[in-house]
Amino acid sequence: MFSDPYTFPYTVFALGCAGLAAALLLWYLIARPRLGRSTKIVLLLGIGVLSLGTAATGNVAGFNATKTRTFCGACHVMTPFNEDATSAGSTSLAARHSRNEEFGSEACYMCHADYGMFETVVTKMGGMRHVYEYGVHFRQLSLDEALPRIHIRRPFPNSTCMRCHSTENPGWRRVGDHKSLLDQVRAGEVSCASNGCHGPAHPFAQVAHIKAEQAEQARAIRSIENGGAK
Amino acid sequence: MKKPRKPLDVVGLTSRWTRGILVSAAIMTLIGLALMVWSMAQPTPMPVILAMSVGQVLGIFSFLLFGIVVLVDQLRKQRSAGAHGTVTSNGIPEAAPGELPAHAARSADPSREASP
Repeated sequence: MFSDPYTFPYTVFALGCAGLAAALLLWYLIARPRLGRSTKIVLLLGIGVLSLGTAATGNVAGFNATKTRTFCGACHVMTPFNEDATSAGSTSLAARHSRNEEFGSEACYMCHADYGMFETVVTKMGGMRHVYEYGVHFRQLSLDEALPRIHIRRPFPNSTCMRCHSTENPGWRRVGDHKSLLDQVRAGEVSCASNGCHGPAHPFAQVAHIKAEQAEQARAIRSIENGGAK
Repeated sequence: MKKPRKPLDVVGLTSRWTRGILVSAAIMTLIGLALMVWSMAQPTPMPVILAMSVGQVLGIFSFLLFGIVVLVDQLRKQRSAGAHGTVTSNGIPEAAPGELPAHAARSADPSREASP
């Protein structure tokens, strides 16, 4: 709760307001005073001012909490993604970016957020679809069943990579593939996370997809063979 | 003969329920606060979503109820003040026929008041 230095002041303020509001409201419920001016002021503080203070700062703390990798990894179907990101030995794109001290603890959000003026709000509204999908389709599934079904909704945009890797750095341009594909990379025609380039960010998920496809094909072949035999 | 229907007395009705409404508002606020504190203590999807949806709705609804109770209480006070003396739109008691208006009576010359 107090580990994030950015959220800490909001959390302390919210808890202080909540404590005071609760004390005032409990006093009202227990003492049962007459509705005079002083009681109205106490209730205005308890129901209005202090509760609004808790809600406002609590929302900021909540939004910050939703950016963290532990929050994203809280659903069981995200466990392998979170484990890969925290694995010291993993060389996947996700793991390498998660080791970054600057934003590693918020690596999921940094790569999957929509950027713009209302980034957090827009991304969180999109995140509600994840909650729906999880509640309706994925909650009952085991990891092996869920993994082949989890896929990115839209192709990963290069613009997200280019927020940090600007494609202007001379060191970046010295790489032959970067130099030859500069225009296509900037236009998003060649994905940075494609198999020929840096590979998928979560390679184990791609392996699961391929295995599921192979199993599906094998089932189809078997059913055709069985049908032919009949 | 058909009896004329009495208009619904919202102010009177609400002022009778004042205590109950305020207790409900206080309890709903406490539940909303508990949800918000829970979301900060355990920032996982379920508590955070509950705090930001149910918690917010409970808080806003409680504040609305409180506002309604205060407004009704104010109206009730005005009404009871009006029952003692009819109050005009500008808040000055209206005079009965043949009487000086109250404000005029107050400001009238004492000698005139004493005259037969």
